[in-house]
Amino acid sequence: MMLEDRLLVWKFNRGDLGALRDVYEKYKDDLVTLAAALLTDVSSAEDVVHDVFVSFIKCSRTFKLTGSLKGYLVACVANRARTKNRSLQVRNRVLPDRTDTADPDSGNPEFAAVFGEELRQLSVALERLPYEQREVLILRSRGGMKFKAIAKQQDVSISTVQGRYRYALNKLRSMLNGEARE
Amino acid sequence: MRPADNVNDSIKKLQLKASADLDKRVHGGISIALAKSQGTEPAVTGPTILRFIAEGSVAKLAVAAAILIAFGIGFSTGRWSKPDHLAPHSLDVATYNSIALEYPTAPKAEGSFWRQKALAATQRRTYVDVRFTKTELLGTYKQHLKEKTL
Repeated sequence: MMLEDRLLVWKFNRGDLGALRDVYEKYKDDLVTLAAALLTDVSSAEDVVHDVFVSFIKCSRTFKLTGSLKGYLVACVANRARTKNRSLQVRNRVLPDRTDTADPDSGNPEFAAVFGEELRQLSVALERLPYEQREVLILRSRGGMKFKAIAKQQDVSISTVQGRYRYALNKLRSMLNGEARE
Repeated sequence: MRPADNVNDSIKKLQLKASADLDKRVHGGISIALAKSQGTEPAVTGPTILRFIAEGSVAKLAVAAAILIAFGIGFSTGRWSKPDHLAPHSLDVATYNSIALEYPTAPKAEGSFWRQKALAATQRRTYVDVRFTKTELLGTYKQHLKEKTL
């Protein structure tokens, strides 16, 4: 798998954009899922993945892979999602009508529905987590990133990241248990 | 099982499929970039396929393994193989006799140590190495003298 990725990157470096298509086809679902879990919005998630690949095209000659390709793409998606989240927060502050009408407990109903009934509770609970905690939890559990790498991404210490992870898990558990009791 | 029992497993179960719209957008972007690059890009100067193979860790491991195997085979072959031994009766007696004619003091007795040594000297080097190495020469001579006195 690693060798296959390296071969794709090698072709990509030589200007073969067909290799980029293969990379996209290979990782698109994982990346969209990751971005959607981070942003709790599918259309924003797709925008993020699109932007990642568009910027990836531009660096075809200069791109140099040092770790795993999936890890690189996950980091790119996380960075873009963080930026997107900031801009969405700013927009929500400027246009408060969007949030006033929505029920804060139900979150984004579209997002809750996309993962199916079985995971509906989880997606609703994920939405209620603070972004930093959600990011750590998703990057760790879904993206398979190490705490050290996440800490580097968020520009905080490893202990802070571990704390966020612990808080996120506890909050999710309490939210899910609360809903289960109801 | 409640979702709270194993949050991590539940998160791993989250799975979305990229929409056809996203596929179209990304592939469209790639096609546009490809069309642009075809007209303007210079010749490719990236690493060759051999360089790519050489840089791969698997290739390095394979080469290292091949060297080790070759070394192992060579070592075991050299360690266990023995040089060809010539049977004593195949010693070149005729050559010795012709030399001995020119040197009257040369030992004539069949079992003479020096005769054997001289005969061995006319043989191929491998035989000499086996029969009369420098360290064993003295011991062999002593053994010969002992046998003679008995």
